[in-house]
Amino acid sequence: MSNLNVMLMNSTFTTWMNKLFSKKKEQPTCTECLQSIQLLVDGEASADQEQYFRKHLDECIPCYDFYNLEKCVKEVLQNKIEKKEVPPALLKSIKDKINLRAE
Amino acid sequence: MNKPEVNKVQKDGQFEKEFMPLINSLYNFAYRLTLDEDDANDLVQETYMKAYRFFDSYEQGTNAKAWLFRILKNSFINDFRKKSKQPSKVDYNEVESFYNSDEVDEKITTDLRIDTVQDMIGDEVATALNALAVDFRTIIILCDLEGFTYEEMAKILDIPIGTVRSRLHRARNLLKEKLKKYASTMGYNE
Repeated sequence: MSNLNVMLMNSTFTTWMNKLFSKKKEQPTCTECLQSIQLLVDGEASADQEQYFRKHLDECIPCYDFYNLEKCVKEVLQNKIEKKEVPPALLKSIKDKINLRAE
Repeated sequence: MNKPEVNKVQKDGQFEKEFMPLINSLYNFAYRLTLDEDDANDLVQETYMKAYRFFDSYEQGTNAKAWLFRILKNSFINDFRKKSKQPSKVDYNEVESFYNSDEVDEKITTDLRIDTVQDMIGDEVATALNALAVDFRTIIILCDLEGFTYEEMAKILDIPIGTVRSRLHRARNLLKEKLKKYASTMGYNE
């Protein structure tokens, strides 16, 4: 019961649920509910939100698909984009400049 | 005469220890913002010079990475946007007011397939990312490439957390549209 109360205190979350349940047969395209799934993907959901979303994802195919696509895009960005490394000349130049300031 | 000398040595030691290990992340961020190696060099150099100059205002042991990223982002806005070879694609205020409007009729790319995204190589994903307006590109770099929290991004970008969330959401939708478009031209979805 207390978990539910905490959730209901969060008005954004309540709005999200209302919108979701009132449009159950439509795609969940309202910005708020999709932004809430983003919290889960980014590890920013509270424990209560996380518990709710995990359960919801088991029951709602459009949200489940959206969640998986978001997660996939994030992982591809994290793992596949080349990480540029600092050119040695720049590193040396910065160190030299800082040392020069000392004198 | 001895005391300032010791302070200087200590300062340099602390600066080196806290900030120099982050230089690859800073360079990567600068490159992803400017999309130009020379501009990235200048931006990182300027960032480190500023960080050194203002080192006294940095609270040691706090979030060094976020502090440096904030300096770099501000330098980029102040200097590079004006003189960069890369023309500014979208006016910042226009982007903010348009994309933060509740009136926006949301278009979600639902037909982008997971296996299509997974099959793409890094350069293809980078091209899609680079095609985004700089504010959208920035928030995705900070969140997904650098792993900053919403709170850290709010501080780096000087915007409320709510704006972090909405801008990130928009940025990802725009990125998915770019990926979808790219996938179609390459025949990925056939």
